[in-house]
Amino acid sequence: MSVLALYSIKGGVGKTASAVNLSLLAAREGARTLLCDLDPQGAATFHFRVRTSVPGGAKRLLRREDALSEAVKATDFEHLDLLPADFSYRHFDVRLDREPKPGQGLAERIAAMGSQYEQILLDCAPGASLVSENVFVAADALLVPAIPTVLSLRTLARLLQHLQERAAPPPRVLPFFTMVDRRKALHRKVCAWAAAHDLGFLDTRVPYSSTVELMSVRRAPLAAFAPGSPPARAYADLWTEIRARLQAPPRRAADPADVQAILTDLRGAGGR
Amino acid sequence: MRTLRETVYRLQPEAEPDDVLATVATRFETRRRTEGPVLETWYDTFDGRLRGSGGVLRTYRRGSETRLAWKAANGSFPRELPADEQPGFARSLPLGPVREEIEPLIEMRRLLPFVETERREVVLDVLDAERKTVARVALEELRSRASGARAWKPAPPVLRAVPLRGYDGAFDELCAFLAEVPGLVADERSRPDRALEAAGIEAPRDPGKLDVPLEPDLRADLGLRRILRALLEVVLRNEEGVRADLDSEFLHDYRVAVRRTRSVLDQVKGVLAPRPLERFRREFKWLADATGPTRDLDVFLLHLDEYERELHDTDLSKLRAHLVRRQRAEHAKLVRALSSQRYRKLIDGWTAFLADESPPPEPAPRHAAKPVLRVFSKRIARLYERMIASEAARAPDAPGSELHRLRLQGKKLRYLLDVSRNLYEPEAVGRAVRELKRLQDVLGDFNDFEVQREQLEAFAGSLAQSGRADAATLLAMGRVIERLRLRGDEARAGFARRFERFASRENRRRYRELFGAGRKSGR
Repeated sequence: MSVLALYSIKGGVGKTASAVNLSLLAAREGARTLLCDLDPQGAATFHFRVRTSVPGGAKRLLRREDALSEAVKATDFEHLDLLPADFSYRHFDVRLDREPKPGQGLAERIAAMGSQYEQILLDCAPGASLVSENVFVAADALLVPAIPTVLSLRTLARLLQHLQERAAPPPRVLPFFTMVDRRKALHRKVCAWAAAHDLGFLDTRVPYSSTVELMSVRRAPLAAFAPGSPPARAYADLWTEIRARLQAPPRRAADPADVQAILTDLRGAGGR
Repeated sequence: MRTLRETVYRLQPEAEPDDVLATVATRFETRRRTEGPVLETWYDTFDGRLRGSGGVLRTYRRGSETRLAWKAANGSFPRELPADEQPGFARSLPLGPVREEIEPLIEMRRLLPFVETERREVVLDVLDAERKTVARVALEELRSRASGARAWKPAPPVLRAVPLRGYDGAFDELCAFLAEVPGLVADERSRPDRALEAAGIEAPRDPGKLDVPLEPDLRADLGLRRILRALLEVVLRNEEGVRADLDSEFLHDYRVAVRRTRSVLDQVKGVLAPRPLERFRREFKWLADATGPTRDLDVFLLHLDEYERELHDTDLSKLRAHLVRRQRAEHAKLVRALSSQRYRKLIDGWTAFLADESPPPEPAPRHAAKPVLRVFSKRIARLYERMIASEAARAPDAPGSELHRLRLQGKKLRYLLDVSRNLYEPEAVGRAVRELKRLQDVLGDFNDFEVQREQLEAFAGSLAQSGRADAATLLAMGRVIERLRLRGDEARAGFARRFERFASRENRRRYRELFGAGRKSGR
């Protein structure tokens, strides 16, 4: 069983779109796949047309051993199931804080699903919290989407630094660029910089595309309604690359100093 | 968590498939689509070990890729992986949970395709208000054929109601509705079972398992023929697998059936006409001898895996290569024997002899007309008495030859019990067999280790002489030999305790009650 978390401190970077599309790609390869929508906004759940409601909510998930398993819903796609979001997940932190092991309660529940699933993906809410600490424990790797902009990179640097400071061994971090707009000089520059310096970024970039926005209109992953579209192809490549990267021995881990270096460089160039 | 299972319905002649689907579509919000054709090949060992465990293994094509799908006994979660080649032995499956689950079930047996299916479906996705699928109804059209056959045979269409996880209520509602639809009858059979029936082929089953129907007062000559026919059937069923050397167990089961045949013929005398039997006895001895060397090497190769695991720092690859070469050569000889006139004549003659149930020529053999129960009980009781009386074997320093003799007697007893067990109270005879089996297991181990050690010493000698073995290989063989000696000692240590139980007062009483009078113990 492998657990991959779509995680970023910053919001609006394409976590949900990535989680929804990658989970279907995993399932289509035949792996029994579970997507856990941990974000109380429930966007991933919405994309699969599942109701954002879990009986007992966050409290029951943490308290009852079989609650997570009971809450799981099949999606319309073979081999792909979903743990729906619930608005009560906004209180996850408070609930976790009352648990005997605040940094692990949720991680243990997720790990227990390994008997049923070969691939688990976590769609995480933005921010840095106790839930994030659980995600760091549960995940074999963090897939960190980043828009090639200053603010995205800044939060990425912050995340990398935080993981370095934690006592526990960090999960692997695989950042990748999303919403890449080739028309923007800044995007081009950041991508080129990342490619030239080994920052641990995945090679595949997900382009900016209105087709991705259509996912919430069609309420389905790209592969279901626009399989040949550029972003759908990018996600397929991304998934192949992620799997290859996870099978290979870890490359040099992304370092916060590297990302800081880009930022300094960008500032020197006046951001142009 | 409730585990919902798909429900299958057979369509009665009056139920038109399209009408049934239309009925569902009027009651539920649905989306109609078609699926297939999906080509599936279903696998099991020849003796149906997966089926016996409740597991189902198949391959199916998806696009250009073939996938292997495994579902262990009910309640477990299905697993899939890409199938680069046809499944065969467990050791050739990729490492992972599928192999971990399958390997202990099939052990050394090869997975063989037993039926192929082609499936087309009209699927109705049952939708909720969000147009999310909450259950499915599939009208399944299935064609099947024996693996390797050309012509497809259609199976009667069935309707499947498929649950989706987390939507129990919707599924219950769907099933309640379908239960009221006229012309639908619940059908418990699985898809491979439906396919087998359509193709007119039998499910894989244990061909070594004897289940000879016998009535206690049946004439002994008729009963004995029945038993021998069942054994002949086992021989014939395994023959093809022996020739093709699909796995080691075809030959094993084949040889057990031959040995049982010989043993029964030796043990139960005065029932069938002695003259033709004399020739058959001779010929079966020939057959047993012709199949022996291959089996010895098979056993060795099977154990070699174990030694490799235990002596993981020792390179046994040259020894393995040597054994494989010899096994191939011996198997080729065996195939020649099975293709000979002599073999054909034996099988044809034996088949004809067993089929002939006309009254025996006068003077009839003296036990021919006695009840089969009496004949067998007497023989079993006597063998048991002889075994527990063998004081020599009980001595802690008894020579190997004494244990060997006891083992052979035990085998004879076991064969008699196996072929006649339907005559007796099942639970009691089951216990008697278990006690005997426990004893035979240690004796068998002891013997196997002795034989293998002797063979290995002989191999080592011949390898050293031929100059084909390097020092490392000879040293490795030495380590295996030492290992075998230790294991043999362990087996002997376990023997005393097992024999104690076998000869215990309780077991003696059991034998007396079951077989003592040959009358009152009958069912």
